[in-house]
Amino acid sequence: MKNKSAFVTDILLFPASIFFSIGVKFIFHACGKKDDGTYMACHWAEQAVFAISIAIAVISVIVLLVKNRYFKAGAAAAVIPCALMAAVIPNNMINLCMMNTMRCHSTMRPFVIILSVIIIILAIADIILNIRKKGDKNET
Amino acid sequence: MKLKKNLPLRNLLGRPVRTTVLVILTALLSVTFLCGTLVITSLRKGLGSLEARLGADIMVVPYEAATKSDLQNIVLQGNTGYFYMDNSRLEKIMKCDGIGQLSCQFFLASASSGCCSIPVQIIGFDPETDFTISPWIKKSGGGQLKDMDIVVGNDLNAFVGDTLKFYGVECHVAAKLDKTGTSFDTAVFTNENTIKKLIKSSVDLKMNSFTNIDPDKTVSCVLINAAEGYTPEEIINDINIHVKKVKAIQTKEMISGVSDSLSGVSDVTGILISAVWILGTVIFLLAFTMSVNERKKEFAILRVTGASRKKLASIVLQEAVITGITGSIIGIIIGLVIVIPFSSSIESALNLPFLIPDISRITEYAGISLIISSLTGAFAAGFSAFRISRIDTGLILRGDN
Repeated sequence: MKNKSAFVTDILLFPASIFFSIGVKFIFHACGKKDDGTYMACHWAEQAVFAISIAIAVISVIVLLVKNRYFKAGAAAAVIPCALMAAVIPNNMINLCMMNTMRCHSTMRPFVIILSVIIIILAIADIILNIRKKGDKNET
Repeated sequence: MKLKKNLPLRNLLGRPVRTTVLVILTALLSVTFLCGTLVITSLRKGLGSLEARLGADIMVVPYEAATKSDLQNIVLQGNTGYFYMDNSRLEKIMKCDGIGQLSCQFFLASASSGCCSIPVQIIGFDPETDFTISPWIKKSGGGQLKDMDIVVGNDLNAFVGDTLKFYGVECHVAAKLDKTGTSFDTAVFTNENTIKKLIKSSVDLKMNSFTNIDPDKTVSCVLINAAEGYTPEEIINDINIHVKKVKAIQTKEMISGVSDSLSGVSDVTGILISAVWILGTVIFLLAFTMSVNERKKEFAILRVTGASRKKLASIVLQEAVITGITGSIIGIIIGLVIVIPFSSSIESALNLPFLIPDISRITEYAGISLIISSLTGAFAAGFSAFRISRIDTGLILRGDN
């Protein structure tokens, strides 16, 4: 019997992680190039978050595709530290720009934090729902 | 009857699409009310903060600065810039009648601020005569500024103890100001000696366009408070007539444009909130009326099994209250997630002073939003509840409704 609730969180995790990757790179990105063509520190924070978001997206695809519920729960658990890491990168691990009014502070950082929190909540829900599932006994 | 105890909830869960639509609608009403109220309140608070920060009745600036709207760009829009006038004009201004308090300020735009290419507005003041910035620094917990000490605005990513370099001169961050929601949040403040050193250094490094400026013989603007018995208008007229190449401006006039814009934004937001609420209430009325109409037989059976008329009405009302509270909570969470983290983006988009209210006020608005959104759903359902309590069971069960 298919666990509908866990299936919903499996599905939601995937678009959330894809939106995280696309959003941080193309919509809610950091400040642009300087006049001299070089980048500010926030650009590297954006790159780091983008790289982690790709990893989260790949894991969320695995969560969606695999059948084994324990494997699903384990993969969802792997998303949590990745999302936590993404949330603390802007301005904590990699400095952002000087002014809080600049794009990296006003747009990218809140987006990264909000999406990370949403992904963590979905991952925790997915773990709980997959572990709680009363499936058939043949399943390992 | 045990079944009837959870009946409203079971009814809602049994019709997930209808329930989801009602919850989304309530969330929309709630988010519109909360976001709209927060934006309007933040703009009003920002304007109040700007008035308080300007803190003087009159500003006297070089005539060119006033005509090129440099002053408004610096003070209101947060653009960086500088302009200077000779000290001799200051002496003439001091001779005018009706001056209660007078203090000079010095403007300088940094070429680079540490990590980024974005320039920062540096404002120098004379601590002995200043009456606008010092009280603000004191309120934010800062003390007397020593030479090479700076105070940073709240939106600058620098903290007490940090060192910032401007034009090759290292400055020590002595205090960080409270948030004001104005362009002053991205400025740096320092005393007269320090800014003169910075101006001199920028001239030496040829990093600014001015070349023949002697920092010891210039000021950027003069702030004046009228003495008792005099009106700002009298002093402005006196200065504008008797002191050449300067322009005296009443600070109230400067922010009148901001005030007008704020009024426009408030009106548009108010109309938007009203439109969404009227539309939402109509949809609620239709949704509950249609829902009750299609469930007439269900209610008639409940009536036959012993449910009172009051019980039927209460089921409809409870359904509305459950969807109302759930939708409102979701709407409040979405509203807070939109407005609070993205307040800087909203401020940039509106280009107006924007200061988010404190947590107690936000909680108050969230509570009001929850109550109003839930009550709107309950009010819309009330009409249907009244109708369902009056159904003729026999007629409906015979199918002659």
